[in-house]
Amino acid sequence: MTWGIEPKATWGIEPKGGRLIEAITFWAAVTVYVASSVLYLYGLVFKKEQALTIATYAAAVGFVPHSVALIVRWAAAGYPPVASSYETLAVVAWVAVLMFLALQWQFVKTRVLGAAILPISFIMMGLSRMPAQAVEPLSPSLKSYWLIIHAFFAELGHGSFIIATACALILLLKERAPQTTASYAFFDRFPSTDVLDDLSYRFITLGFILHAIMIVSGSIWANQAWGRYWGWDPVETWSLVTWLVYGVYLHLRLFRGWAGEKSAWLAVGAFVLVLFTFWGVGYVTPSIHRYLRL
Amino acid sequence: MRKIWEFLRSRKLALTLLPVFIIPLVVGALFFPGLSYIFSAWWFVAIGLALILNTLFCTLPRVRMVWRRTFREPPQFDRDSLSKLPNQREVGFSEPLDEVVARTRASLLKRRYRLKESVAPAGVSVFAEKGRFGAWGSLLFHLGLLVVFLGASFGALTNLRGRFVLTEGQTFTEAHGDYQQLREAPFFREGHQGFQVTLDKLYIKYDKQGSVADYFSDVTVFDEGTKVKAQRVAVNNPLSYGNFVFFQSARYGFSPLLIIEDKDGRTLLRAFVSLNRVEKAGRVQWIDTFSVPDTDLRISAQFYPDAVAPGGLRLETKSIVPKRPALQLNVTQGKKVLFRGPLFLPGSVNFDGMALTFADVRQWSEFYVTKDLGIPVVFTGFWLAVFALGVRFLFAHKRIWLVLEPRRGRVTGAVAGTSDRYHALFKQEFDKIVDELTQSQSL
Repeated sequence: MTWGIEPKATWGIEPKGGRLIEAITFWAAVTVYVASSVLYLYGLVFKKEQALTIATYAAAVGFVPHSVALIVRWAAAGYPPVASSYETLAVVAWVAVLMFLALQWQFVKTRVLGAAILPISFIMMGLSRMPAQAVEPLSPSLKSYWLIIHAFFAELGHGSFIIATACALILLLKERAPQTTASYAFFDRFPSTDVLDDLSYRFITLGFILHAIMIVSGSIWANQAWGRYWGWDPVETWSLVTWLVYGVYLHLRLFRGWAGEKSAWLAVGAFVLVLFTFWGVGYVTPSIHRYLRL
Repeated sequence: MRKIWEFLRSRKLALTLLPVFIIPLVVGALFFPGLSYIFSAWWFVAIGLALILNTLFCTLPRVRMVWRRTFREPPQFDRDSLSKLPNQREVGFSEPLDEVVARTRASLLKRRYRLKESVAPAGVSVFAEKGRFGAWGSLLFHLGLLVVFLGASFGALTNLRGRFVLTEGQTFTEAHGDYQQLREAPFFREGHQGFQVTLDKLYIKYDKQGSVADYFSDVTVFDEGTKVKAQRVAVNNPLSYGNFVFFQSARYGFSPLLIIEDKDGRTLLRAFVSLNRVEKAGRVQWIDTFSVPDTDLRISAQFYPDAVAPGGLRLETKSIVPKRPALQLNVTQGKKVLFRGPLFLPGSVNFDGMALTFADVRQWSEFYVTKDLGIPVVFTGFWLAVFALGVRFLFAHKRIWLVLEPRRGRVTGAVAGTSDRYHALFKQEFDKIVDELTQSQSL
């Protein structure tokens, strides 16, 4: 072949052992993430530092079988796990956990965000098992190295927005918490609202860049495949809408001094757009991104 | 006039135009999918143009400002002026001044700050700075968007988009008349080049279930009679020649070779007839109706790639792989039906003194063609914008001022710092630096 990716699998038929390993490692990761979530919540509510530490180690441990599951999937299919809803959800969950582990390594006090990130991740992994998981042959338009670049940056962007939204949600909870001693004691576990605000801002900026790369790489790929870099496809258009809304967020922060609760609400609203763009538009209207449907 | 200018370049206008631009995108994509022409409506284009103009008027005047900010010398400062800055602490040291300065230098250099030290009679001033090029990020990003707009506009005014169909062995000439469908932008100005493209072979790969797994074409390009290029054209692997780009379409089909001779042996028709591809109820059919030139014969033909005739009745096809090709024919002359029935390859039928032969079958493929000189400009703008975003993200402009004065055997001073972004995170970094310097020896 002189172009693109040639699927290794005989279409629709997967090596039996590979499927088993993938299933075992996938569910092992989900189990560990659930345990980690429980430990985070326990540590948060009962102020047990040790529980938070163990929860973080558990998240790191769960990350290993999660990675193995994705690698096995890649090996079985012969192409990166980015071409179906099952694959994209599993990878986005992986990216969110990776970014969280990197963040809490840099800022230890942010590890309590695991109480939000880990549940989101294992729920996404659970949702990913809803559609068919069989390895399907790649359609000719997907046989390109741009698939890896485009999907990879999409998933990195989503992971970044998940972290940003988690920070924003906790900021909102903190700001709206009742003014009681118990409440103060609970929320004192989290970083200050200023730091949460900055972290949310930082991850949205990062997500904005990654989302831009996703759009640009998608445009270049579309031009290579179909001779047009922009076709107003619904998912294309909604990706642009999402990116512009985050652009509005950044402008409001920089030039109108928006910060704190106002910014956090906008961050949460923008994330709803992200969810709708990638897992909702396909149900409402036909799109070339039809393989994103759950 | 000045007020109009200020309004046109205001960020308030940008923050108003952005939602105004977003709303039609949301409505259009949700409620009018497939009707992409609504995004060419004059009012939508006007909103987009207003946004671009606002970006232009905001961005260009900032070039000089950002240039000055990047390359100017830092202003003089003293201990009193530092008290006005957001992050500010008084410090004291028991070591000699030169040791404090050395330790300060090491701490800041470790964090990749650029330093400027100045010695005054009262003491030493240290100005540390990093990320000053970050200010270029925003500027270059908006310039990148303007470049994208320029490229897209230029392309929209000068491009060509077309499509044509070729049967294996046939040649397409890049000229106005050979396209099946053609759209030339207002300023394309008949930029046809007259070279030729021959479809040598179309390959269709089938999977074990008999569905199409892949498709690609071998083509040859001739320019003024000379073979200049041969390439395999596939989705994601277009053919480029002379600023024209040829894309493999997903539409392909079959072209049976039909030969009709009259009773005197005169050939009335000898051609590969590209039968139209139609999708009906999820199934693909190749079917067409055409007239034989210079006669009143009309032929309706449906192609069956892997034909069977269960019970001798109407043809069916077992798969789309052309293993046993056949045609279901209906030949009429005016209202008179001359022949109706199946014809397998190879085969002939006689009717009304004429002979119709189904002699061969080849495949046809559709190709899309574009010529758009704006595309490289658009992609340059894209990458400039993305690069600039990276610069903006990585380089927050951070500045730290330090004034140190020897006083009665000790060194006292003031430290202050600012960042253009992430203020809370910078405060943590600033406090860490100062604590490290003072080793908890603040006054």
